[in-house]
Amino acid sequence: MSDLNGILSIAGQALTTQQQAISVTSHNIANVNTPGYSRQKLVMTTSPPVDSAIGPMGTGVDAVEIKRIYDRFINAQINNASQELGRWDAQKDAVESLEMIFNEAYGYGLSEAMSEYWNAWQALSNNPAGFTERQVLLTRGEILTSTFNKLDSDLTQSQRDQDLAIEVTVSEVNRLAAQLVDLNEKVVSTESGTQTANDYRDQRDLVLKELSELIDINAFDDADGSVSVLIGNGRPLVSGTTSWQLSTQVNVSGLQDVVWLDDAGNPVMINNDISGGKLKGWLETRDVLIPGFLNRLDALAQTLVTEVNNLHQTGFDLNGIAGEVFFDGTGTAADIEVNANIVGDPSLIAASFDPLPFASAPGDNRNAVEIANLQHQLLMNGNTATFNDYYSSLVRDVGSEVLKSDSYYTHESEMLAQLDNYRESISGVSLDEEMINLIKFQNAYAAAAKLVTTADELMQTVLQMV
Amino acid sequence: MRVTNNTMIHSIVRYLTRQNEALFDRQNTIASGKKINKPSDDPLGMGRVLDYRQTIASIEQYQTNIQSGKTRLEVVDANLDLVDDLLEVVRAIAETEARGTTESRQRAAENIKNLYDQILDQANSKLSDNYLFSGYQTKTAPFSRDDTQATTFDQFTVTYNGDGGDMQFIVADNTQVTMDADGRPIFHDAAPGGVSIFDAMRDLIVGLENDDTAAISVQNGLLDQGHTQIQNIRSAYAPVLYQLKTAENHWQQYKPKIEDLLGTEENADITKAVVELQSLELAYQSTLATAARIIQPGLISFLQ
Repeated sequence: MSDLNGILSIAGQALTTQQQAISVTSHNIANVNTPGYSRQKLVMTTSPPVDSAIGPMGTGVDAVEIKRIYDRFINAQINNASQELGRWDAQKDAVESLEMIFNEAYGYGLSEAMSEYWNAWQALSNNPAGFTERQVLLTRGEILTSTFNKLDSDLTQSQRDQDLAIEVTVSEVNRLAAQLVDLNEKVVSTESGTQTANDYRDQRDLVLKELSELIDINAFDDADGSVSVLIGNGRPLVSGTTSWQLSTQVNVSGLQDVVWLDDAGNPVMINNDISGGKLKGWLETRDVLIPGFLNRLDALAQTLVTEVNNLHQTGFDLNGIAGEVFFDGTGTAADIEVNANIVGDPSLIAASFDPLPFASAPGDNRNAVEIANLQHQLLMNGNTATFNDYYSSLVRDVGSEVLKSDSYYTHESEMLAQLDNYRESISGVSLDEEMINLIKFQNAYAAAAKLVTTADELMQTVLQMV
Repeated sequence: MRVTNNTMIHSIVRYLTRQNEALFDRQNTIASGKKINKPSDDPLGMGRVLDYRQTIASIEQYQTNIQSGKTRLEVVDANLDLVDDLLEVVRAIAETEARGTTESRQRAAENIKNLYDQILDQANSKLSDNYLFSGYQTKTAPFSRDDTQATTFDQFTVTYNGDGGDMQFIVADNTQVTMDADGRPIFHDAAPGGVSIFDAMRDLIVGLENDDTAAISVQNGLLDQGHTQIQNIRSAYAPVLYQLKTAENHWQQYKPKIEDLLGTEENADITKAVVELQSLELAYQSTLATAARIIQPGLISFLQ
């Protein structure tokens, strides 16, 4: 093929190939900022040589394939890091909102409300028949109970917020699963020949990353190029072109369980099988952290109600009648309130002991003193802590939870940034590189064009010889 | 390592975000003057802050209680001081009238009746609408006599309407100081060795009206005893006052210490925060400057 036609043929092939290379380069430049994009490269190889008298003669260049530059292992690592990051991101946001509820840094919280309530009992003990002192005590009592109520309703509201987020996320998981099925189809049909579906694979990797931000997944490639995804302890979410659905179902606490629908459409609860992604963060906050804080708040309210009521009922009011309960309610933070009868008539506050033989004992402050002294008694936590100690430790633990999820979040996002950098160093588009390639291919193209004119000139020369 | 445009852009964004966070943090610290602005800033510190605040609130209440206690003691002491003075006048009259005439004794009887009512007034004195000497029955006058009775004796016989109650003041955690509020041991003691000042005055009035020298002399002795009784009661208040003052001193010294601890725990070291802010600003500006220089050029800028 060392004839002139051969040269023309080589030149033509070279022009096409360099043009393809420029086309791939332009695709890279165009997608420099596309998330998940892996740079592509035209793989060129020499065409098979032909034998000639002087040995094998080259026949030019062949474009073999458009190759996607990537590291198949980095994606799995990125997905793992995304799961952890998603989990702590969700949990961090959630506990930060809890922290606002318990923020006592500027006072006006339960700690202060309790302090003022006990002090009001002391003030009453200084003037047990005083109407003002009684009114103040009632006001302090009402502030205390409404602070309890508010904490409870804020925590419950936050729990509902997590619940809603879980519901929305479940449908997001289903949407991503449907996308994976769609992309699987495209990859499989593109790759039915010998080609690789570079862009579809990039898109699919990106969807897998998004999915792993939401829930922990186990993804693996099948022989036909499709990807299978398992979630929640080995239950299939996507396999080839089939997807399973997640759904939610209201449980006994009135919150949404995450359920996986099996082949027959039967729901299987998978709350406890989820160990990563935002779903884990929200489930953890909703089902473990918030109920924990609510229980401790309830324990505080319960003991307060019981202890104050016990003493108050052994006492006698300004009219010499045995005390009613001071606090109404079932002993939870949600419904604790000051007995409405006492609110209506402050003289019903039982500051004295039994006034016999007199009808009443307006100057007797002994019961008020007893109740005021509850403040410093170790009544909480198996009789090891005062009310205030107990609540301080609750606030402290909320702070610690925020600190914990914050440091996990920072750690994981550093980790992911490192992995992203690593991925970028392999698959990322460098404009400088692409510019160099562009010039390289452009020059090659120009040279190939020159080949055509040279061959043409040679042809003319030959023709002129005739 | 192969560094691409996005690697640089992402890392610059990350550094700027981090520095902004740190700047925001210092800004908060400086603006609020506090290093704990939310529990997670220092969970253990937050716990201690709540404890200190509660302690301070308690101390302030104890100080109020102690003040109430002291006021009560002072008022009671002033009352008893006046009673003592009045009693001295009664005793002087009794001494003079031991040798007096029938006429002067009649005048003196009227005099003593007035003094009797003055002392009765003192025994029925109030502090902010509460009777001081009627035990728990603070809304009932402790002593009363009945003017409608037929005889002088009956008219000037007092009844105690109170009970044996006392008054407690909370001065520290689970610690109360107790003050007697029963008027009987002071004015109308029926116990052996005790004397009823009112009965002694009553008998003196009757003695004077009846011109009974022997009865007048007897009362003289009893009134002397009454004087001693009031002095004893007054000195019995001294330890109570001492208890209150000790507690007061204790809190006066203790409170600034707790306030100090609270300050150390929650107040920001502004100087330190400002210095940190400055160095962060410098770092932030350097990052910005670096970013501006690195991001702009590329090979493309140099190709014609």
